Amino acid sequence: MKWAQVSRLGNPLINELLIPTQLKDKWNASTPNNDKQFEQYYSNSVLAKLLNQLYPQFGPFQETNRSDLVSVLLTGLKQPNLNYTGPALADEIRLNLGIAPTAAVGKGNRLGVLGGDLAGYPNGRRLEDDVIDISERAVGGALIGHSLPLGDGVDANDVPYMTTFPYEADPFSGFENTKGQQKP
Amino acid sequence: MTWRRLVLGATAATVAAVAALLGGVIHGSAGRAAPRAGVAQPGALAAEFAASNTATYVAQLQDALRMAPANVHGLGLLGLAYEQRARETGDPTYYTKADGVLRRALRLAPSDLIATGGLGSLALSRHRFRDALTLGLRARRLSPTTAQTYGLIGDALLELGQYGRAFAAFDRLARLKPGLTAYARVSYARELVGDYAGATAAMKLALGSAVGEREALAWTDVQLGKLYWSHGDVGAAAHEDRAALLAFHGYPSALDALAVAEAAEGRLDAAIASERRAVDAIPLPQYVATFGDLLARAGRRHEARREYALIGAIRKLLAANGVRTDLETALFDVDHGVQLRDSVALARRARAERPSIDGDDVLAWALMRSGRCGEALVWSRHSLRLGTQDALKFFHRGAIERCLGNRTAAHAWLRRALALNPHFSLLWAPVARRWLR
Repeated sequence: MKWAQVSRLGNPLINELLIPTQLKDKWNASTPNNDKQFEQYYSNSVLAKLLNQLYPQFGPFQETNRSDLVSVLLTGLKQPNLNYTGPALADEIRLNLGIAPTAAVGKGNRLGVLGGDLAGYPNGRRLEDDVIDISERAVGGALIGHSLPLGDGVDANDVPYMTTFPYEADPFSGFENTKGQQKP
Repeated sequence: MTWRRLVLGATAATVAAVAALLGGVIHGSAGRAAPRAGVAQPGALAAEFAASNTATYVAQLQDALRMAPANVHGLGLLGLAYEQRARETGDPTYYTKADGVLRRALRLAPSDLIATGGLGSLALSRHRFRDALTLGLRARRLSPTTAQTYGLIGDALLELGQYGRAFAAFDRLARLKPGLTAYARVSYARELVGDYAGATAAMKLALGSAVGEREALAWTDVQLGKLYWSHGDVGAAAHEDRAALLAFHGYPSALDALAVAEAAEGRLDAAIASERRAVDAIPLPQYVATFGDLLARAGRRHEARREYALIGAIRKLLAANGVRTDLETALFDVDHGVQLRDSVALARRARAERPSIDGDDVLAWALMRSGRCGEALVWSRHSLRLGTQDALKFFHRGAIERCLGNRTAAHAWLRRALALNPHFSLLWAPVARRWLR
């Protein structure tokens, strides 16, 4: 049996928000050690461009030379000294084991490092790390002095996490889905 | 509206929509798996589909576009969402809407991949296969690594009768992204060349990849059921159709397939009830035709004629929204003895537009029914050139041989049709049996 790689995940939302449509399948089939080829899409963010189009009143959002995104996503953060792994560019989750956990499971600051909690995303990724809000704020410029309270309005899981492995709450049944139903 | 909510609309919704629309377009495969057009009738079905939330995506994308009307990405996604709505509701006016926004996106950004591919899949849905191929090849130039483009190209090539090139495109698709869309197409390709075991194995792989998505699961169950049906396994086919209905309550194509299986089991009342539910949900011409055939079989000729009469009106609505239905119309007319003289000309036009083995077969059948059996034989041979195991095509060949006075050959083909699937057609299986007596 010959297997084909059809997906990968390091940092969340890279393929969805940074990689352009025509390269999404190629990115999914490639490996992190070759991520230099995608550097331009980190440093020139299409999402920042979109934010400028949609919310000129909150801009300008920096669209080019985003070395802040390149370092936080592809090498790890050196300043502050968080999880730098050297100059090689690779989209990976980097966890600095020298930084001790700051809270019990599910109790950390949902904004992780942006919220001042160095034990959270992008230093590793915890269940409670609100990666959509964090990513939006990072692309919005949170690391380069353009701090905006961007977010999706969902700040926590709707049911509590478990206190033992696998920590995630039980999944919903796929056959009794009530999420999309119209209620009077 | 707060600006916090605006961000939700713009980015989170975009993420979800991209995943849903680019990741999971399973309707694009060709032939009997092809997306089919119909007429709107929201209601129970719309409520079922609310779980997939396409209507909500449409509203969110429209909101975002009101703020940024020149957002090419948003226009492209809205076009794809409209196409999905057309599939969900059968309302062909969504095709016209999709066409409008996708063309606008392309005017703003002539090399946009989503808009190009979206217009390609729209052309497939409207049975404009040459346009679909042109757009598919253009999308491939824009991005040779995008897997879905090879599905689009292969589907168009199949309907244009270019099987070698189509299978090569499906191979490329399967190498780039093995998954539901690839397996379903590989299954169809194997079925075309008469490899039933291989086709079944690939469709089971597709079924395995569909787990967790209700509509995809139901669709794949129905495809597997149709494969079993094609080889006369009524019980296994009905089982898959019921599994589809468990996964997706009221799924119209499962009801349509189940109705035919129930009729084969001799349960005509149940069959009529199932097909009525399918027609009530989405009045596609082929569902309405089957409904009419079932009513006729039950001796309810007056009601059958009323259903048949409806088909013309539905076709007009489809045509008004850019959908070509010449081949389907020709087959219906020939099967039901409507305007036989005109249907040869119509079948010729349809076959020229769609030179697939189905185009060959319908033309052969139209010629035979108007007594031109010598020419019919040429097209029938052409329609069987891939080695496809299709009882209806075998029957058409038998009828043509019979018309030419080749009694031995006629009986051999008729027996072959009935041996493969004793219930291959509500209208013609009984005729085949009568001719063999």
